[in-house]
Amino acid sequence: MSHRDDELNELLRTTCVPDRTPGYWEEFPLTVLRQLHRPVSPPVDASSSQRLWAWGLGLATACLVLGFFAGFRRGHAVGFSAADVAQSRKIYQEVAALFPDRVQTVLLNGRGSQLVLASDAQRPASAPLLVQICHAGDCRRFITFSGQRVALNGETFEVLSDAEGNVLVVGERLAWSSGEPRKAAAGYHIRATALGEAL
Amino acid sequence: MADTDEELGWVRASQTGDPAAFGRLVGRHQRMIHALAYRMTGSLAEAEDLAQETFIAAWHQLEGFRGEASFSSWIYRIAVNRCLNWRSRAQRRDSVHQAWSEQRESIPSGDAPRARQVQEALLQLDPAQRATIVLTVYDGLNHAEAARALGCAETTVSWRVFTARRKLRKLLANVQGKGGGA
Repeated sequence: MSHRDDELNELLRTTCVPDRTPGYWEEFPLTVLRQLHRPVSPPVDASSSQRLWAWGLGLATACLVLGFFAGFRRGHAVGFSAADVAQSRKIYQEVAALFPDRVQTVLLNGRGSQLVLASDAQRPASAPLLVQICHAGDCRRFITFSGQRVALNGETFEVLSDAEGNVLVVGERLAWSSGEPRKAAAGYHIRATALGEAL
Repeated sequence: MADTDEELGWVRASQTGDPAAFGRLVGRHQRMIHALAYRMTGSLAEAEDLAQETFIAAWHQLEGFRGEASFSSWIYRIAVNRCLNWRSRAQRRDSVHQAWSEQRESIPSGDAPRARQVQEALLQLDPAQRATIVLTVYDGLNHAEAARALGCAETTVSWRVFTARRKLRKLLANVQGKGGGA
């Protein structure tokens, strides 16, 4: 390492990480534990895991689009009634059982449901989120997760959830939050809710 | 980053679903993960969120921990990946930050102006470059260890360190102190 590198290192290290109070460090593990809703599943032996993975991948390739008659129809008047939420939960549970930890988005439309699957199993970043985006008479409804992207009429939106349980929908021209559902959203009508941690 | 027998016991208990044991693991490693996340984000709030995400992800991935590496190395890698992913999410989320006026904390430090400039310079690096600097300069990993943590080749780490230093020198050229004006 040259002398110049040493000097730069010294300068970089002038930024200290601000310390927290002792109470914070005592509370933080409890904060984490409170968010551990799902129990740890017992270890799966490697051979069965590989078989499951291979089986799932084959199915995913062959069945990219699965028909699930969900009873949804297009139209911006569709709202999230208790029946809508219950039906969405049912659909998600069915798909998640087929593709554990690989479902990224389920697009629900009048002709059935279209799946977007991850190539590898990965725990989702949030509880499943039910999102409906309507614009100019066209509506799309999705079951997705925080961090995923969905599209309507060529525009892409990122769906996020925050620690308070709000669902955020962010596009090029809008940033909408379920915490402020009436906030103007550039002609878009959006509804979103979490489908629940227990799924 | 060697594990103690006590810690290995906590890991095994956590793998059977014992949250109290996992809480002890969180307590032992929380400062390391918070520090990494803060270096990567420059924000106490973001660091807290990332630290929480890291430990929650670790809990859900514990079944995959076989003990080939130490637990601290394993969770450190999870945190690094989370931090790199955070940056890409945060970039796309800027409009949300503006819309809801989320406040980024100032950087509390004894020599605040210089520290702030340094932290801002770090935040201007490419996320992968920043992670490499954080791992090698702040956390003292050698290039081989950093490569394992980042999941890339050692030569990639060396190149990133080189390019990051070059950029930092330019960014910090006006900062009083050693290194910046060289």
